[in-house]
Amino acid sequence: MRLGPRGIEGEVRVERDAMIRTCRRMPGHARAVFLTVAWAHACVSSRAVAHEPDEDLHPPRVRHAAPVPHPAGPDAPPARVVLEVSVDEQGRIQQAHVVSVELDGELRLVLVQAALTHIWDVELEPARRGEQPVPAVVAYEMAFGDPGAPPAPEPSGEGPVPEPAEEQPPRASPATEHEAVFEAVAEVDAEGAAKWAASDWTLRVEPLREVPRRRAEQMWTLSPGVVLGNHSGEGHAPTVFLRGFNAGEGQDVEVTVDGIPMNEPSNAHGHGYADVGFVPAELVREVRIVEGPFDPRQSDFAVAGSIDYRLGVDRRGVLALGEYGSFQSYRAVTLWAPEGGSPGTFVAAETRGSAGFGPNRSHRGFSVLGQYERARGPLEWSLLVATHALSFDSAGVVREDAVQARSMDACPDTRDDQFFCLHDPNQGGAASRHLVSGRIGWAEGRRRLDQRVFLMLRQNRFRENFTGRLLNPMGDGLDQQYGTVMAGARGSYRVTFDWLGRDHRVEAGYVARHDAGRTRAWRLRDDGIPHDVVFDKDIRITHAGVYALGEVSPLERYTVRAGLRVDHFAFSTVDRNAPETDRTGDRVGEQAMDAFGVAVQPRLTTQLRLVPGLHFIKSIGLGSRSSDAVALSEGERAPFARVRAFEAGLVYRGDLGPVAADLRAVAFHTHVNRDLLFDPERGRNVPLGASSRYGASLTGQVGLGRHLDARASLVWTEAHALPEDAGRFAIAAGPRLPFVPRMVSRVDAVGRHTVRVRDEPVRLALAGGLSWVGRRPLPFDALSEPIVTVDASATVGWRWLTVGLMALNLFDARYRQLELHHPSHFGEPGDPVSLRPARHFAAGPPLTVLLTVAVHIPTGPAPREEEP
Amino acid sequence: VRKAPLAVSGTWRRRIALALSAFVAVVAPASCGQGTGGRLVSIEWAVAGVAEEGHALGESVTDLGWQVRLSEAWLSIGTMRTHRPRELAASARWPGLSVSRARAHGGHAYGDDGPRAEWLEPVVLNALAVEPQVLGWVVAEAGAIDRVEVELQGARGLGPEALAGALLWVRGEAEREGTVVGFDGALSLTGTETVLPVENIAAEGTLEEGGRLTVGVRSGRWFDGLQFDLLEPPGDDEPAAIEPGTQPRNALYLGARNPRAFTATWTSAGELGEDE
Repeated sequence: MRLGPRGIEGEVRVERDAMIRTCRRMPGHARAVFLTVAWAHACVSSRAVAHEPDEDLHPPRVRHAAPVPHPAGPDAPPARVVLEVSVDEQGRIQQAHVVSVELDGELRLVLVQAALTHIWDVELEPARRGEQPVPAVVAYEMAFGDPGAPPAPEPSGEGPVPEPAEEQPPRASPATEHEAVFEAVAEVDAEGAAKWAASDWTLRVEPLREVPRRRAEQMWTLSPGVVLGNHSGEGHAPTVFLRGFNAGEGQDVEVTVDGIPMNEPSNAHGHGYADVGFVPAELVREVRIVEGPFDPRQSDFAVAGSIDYRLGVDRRGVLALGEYGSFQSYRAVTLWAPEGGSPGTFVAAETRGSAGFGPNRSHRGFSVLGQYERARGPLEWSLLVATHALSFDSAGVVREDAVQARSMDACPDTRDDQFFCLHDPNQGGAASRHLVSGRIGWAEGRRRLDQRVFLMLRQNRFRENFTGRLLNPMGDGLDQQYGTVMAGARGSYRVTFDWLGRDHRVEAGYVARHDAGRTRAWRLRDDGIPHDVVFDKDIRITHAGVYALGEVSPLERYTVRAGLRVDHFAFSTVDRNAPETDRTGDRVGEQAMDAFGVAVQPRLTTQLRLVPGLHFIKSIGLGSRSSDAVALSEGERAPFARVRAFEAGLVYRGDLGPVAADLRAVAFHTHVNRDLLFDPERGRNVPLGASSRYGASLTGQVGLGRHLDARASLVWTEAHALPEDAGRFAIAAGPRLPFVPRMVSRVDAVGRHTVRVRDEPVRLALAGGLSWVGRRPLPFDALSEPIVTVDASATVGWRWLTVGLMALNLFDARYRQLELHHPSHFGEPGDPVSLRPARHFAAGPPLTVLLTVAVHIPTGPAPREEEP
Repeated sequence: VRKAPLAVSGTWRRRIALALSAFVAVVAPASCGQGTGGRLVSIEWAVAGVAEEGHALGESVTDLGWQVRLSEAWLSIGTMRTHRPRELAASARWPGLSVSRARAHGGHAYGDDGPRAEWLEPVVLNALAVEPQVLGWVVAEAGAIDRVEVELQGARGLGPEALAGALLWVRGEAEREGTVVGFDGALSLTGTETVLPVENIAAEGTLEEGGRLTVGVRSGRWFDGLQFDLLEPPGDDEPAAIEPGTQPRNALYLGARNPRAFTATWTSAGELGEDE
């Protein structure tokens, strides 16, 4: 079997004693063909037709399989491992054990472990006789290092199993002589294929794992055009800029972890706040990112897009990782992924901390996650538990004029010290999360049911001060607190059916959640003591969203995906900070409020295959974001921010010579008809009118075996505030929205090589990530400076040991990761107060160097080998 | 894996090229030359005493019929600000894109009642001076204004000694129906008040580069409602003091915060050149 970055190339052998003569006459494809062996018991149902040709029998098809590098590196001696795999009529792998290993020596065990680890990750569609799924035993052959694989002919692409080519005889089979052999094209669903939009990405993290990304949230930057900023440092979720949206820390992006919603409605710090800091980066196996609201499964907050972090561990065994470097930064991860378990089975613990790259930037925290996943048989299930806590200090933002004047007393008056200085040392926060979630899946034939339930306790607190003493001479510091219990479920039921000789799908699903808790904000004096209540509310928010979708291919080259989504929101709040007297007289100092809202969102995508591998995809969808319960009024029909998004793009997935490539060119437009923004002085949301965002992106990912993986993107975005009289097609009317990145580019690249030192393979890897954010429009027609940062890492691996050196912001650039424009007063209480807006910024981290030592030990019982 | 050669037919190449060209043709021109709105300019800020119509500077007639003649009139100003028209801020679809605030959170809260220009240095004005007192240049946001706000605060180390710690100091005499009352008094704040805001001073104009905004003081309006006959002269031709807790003091307090006691005049750079 040959492995590429996107799937599997190789052969599948299907052997059935009922098909000896017929199948031996069948010539086969070479590369891109799997050789599948169906043993006798797999064909119990066909014994009645033994010795009869059964051309209606189709072998299992590989739906998805992770790339598997040679454990000893690409230059290691080639080897072949054959596994015997039992596949039931649902396509589930029931058993797997080693048939043969064509290699002697120390590497033998390593290869076996790699093969057994890999096999549980393979997703198959069951073998079929006609439309009837049948069980099978499959000889699954993995060729490490390409041991003499024949040259690759072009595969047929989509469609039914083609006839093999006459001139290529079947390859020798290790099966017993009474078994039949035939060959069939193995169709692999392309990994990361665009489904609902040209910007629908399912990205495996592994090919670019070496590029420095220390936190799960940084996986966002795999998606084109995403810019992350953070005004509070470690422990605080990043602000996401995407497609012209300042999506806040989740306000306009839906964030989920294995389908579990992370957005926190009515969080005192920001509506929709979403933090995935509890997930160690090593546990993120895959991310699915959809830019725009195009998939009916995208839920509340999916205005600019959505991201789903999918957890799993491909490298089974025990991993112990330690990291230490600049600013006393440390991180230790212990991870156990039992051999033979599915990728979703793991236990991981992480502890991390740092003194911070400037004053008041320290943090410390820990996470523990464990999941057991049973993915064999028609019934699969998993149970996830997680607990997490952290606390952090924050420098917040500083005034640009104070930095230029070097007037901040808390730091030396050098330019550098002032750049990283702070106005208010009483900033920071703490958070904790306790999560339990269970999933159950059931598949029968071409029907599939998935259910997940989740229960989460969430507590967070943020202390920040953006305005100094502008509002009150005692101090404007905010102490924002949020504590909720969230319980919910989501599920779907999918049916795949055949029509016109092609597969089509329909699916219905739902997500339901209830959040109950308290959200409040206090004003703090300079000494950190609260002196005023901004708001204090008990919240009960129920959200239920249902959807139905269909995926139909009326023509072989043309696919239509359409869906309808309806979201219901019920808000119930109790204001604990109501006045105790009003003009009428005495009253109770609390007040209850209820509101209800419904959002209907149709979504449509069409996909036309121009030539094999090249698709033209058009998508249109409506998305919405619920209101902040803090700002609603009694009986209000909860208003939504609604967006209408359109996207068209060309997607090419295929090979360019020896390089596997995924290339996409996309143009997009988003219209917000009524944006809402919370005005804290008015205590409610205020309408801000219509806006328009449009742009285009170019993205490419290439892979050259295990030697090179690279991904690059360039995105251009314009965002305008539309005037009242703007026509339907006047997408560029009105002034630009400030701070929106217009040109964003990101390049990630990993190069790997294996050298031999005293006959020992030594793995070498160099990785780099380059981010470029062009000049942003600023208020008063000004432009910001561009931002260029480079992160790099170098690793050396020998057997179970990997040592790496990581440099973040390699060239020690001074940049502003977030800029704001608002009035503030950080002077003395008696000083004159300016009400004119001034530029503020949060400094980006300087050069940070970290040494990483990782020990990975494969564990578990020795596999059975060479069974008769 | 599906392997596909990157070969696109000529028809599709033409279609793709046409689509890209159309997109660029529609979007590119519209994307150029637009900014975020708003523009910064430099303007001159000045303060001046303003004479009542038909009267000499320092002379006026109050609403109670007292004819007032001032020999001293000093005012201590803390800050001065001028704002865009309220209807402009209220009706704007995206009001104040450039005046975003971050009060509850570090986002961009687009509220817009912020000032277009402000003067933050303490100023002591001799309201009887004939020539305007030009304070200096400030950076302002270009555009229309409709009002000025002034905060009066106690003088610290500026102006005559009699003004020390007070908002204003006046000396003069008032005459009505043959009754003449000399007065001398300073207005200071009591309690927790540190500044006395004067809001909604009418202004009209469009701030542009090089112009001058002059805040005028009509000192005669300070005495509206003041019953000079309640002042008790100590005799010997000494002026009567304006004592705290009395009607004259309270009337002076209200007069000092009366927006009609101030004017705001915008003079464009061109008009300034003509004057010179």
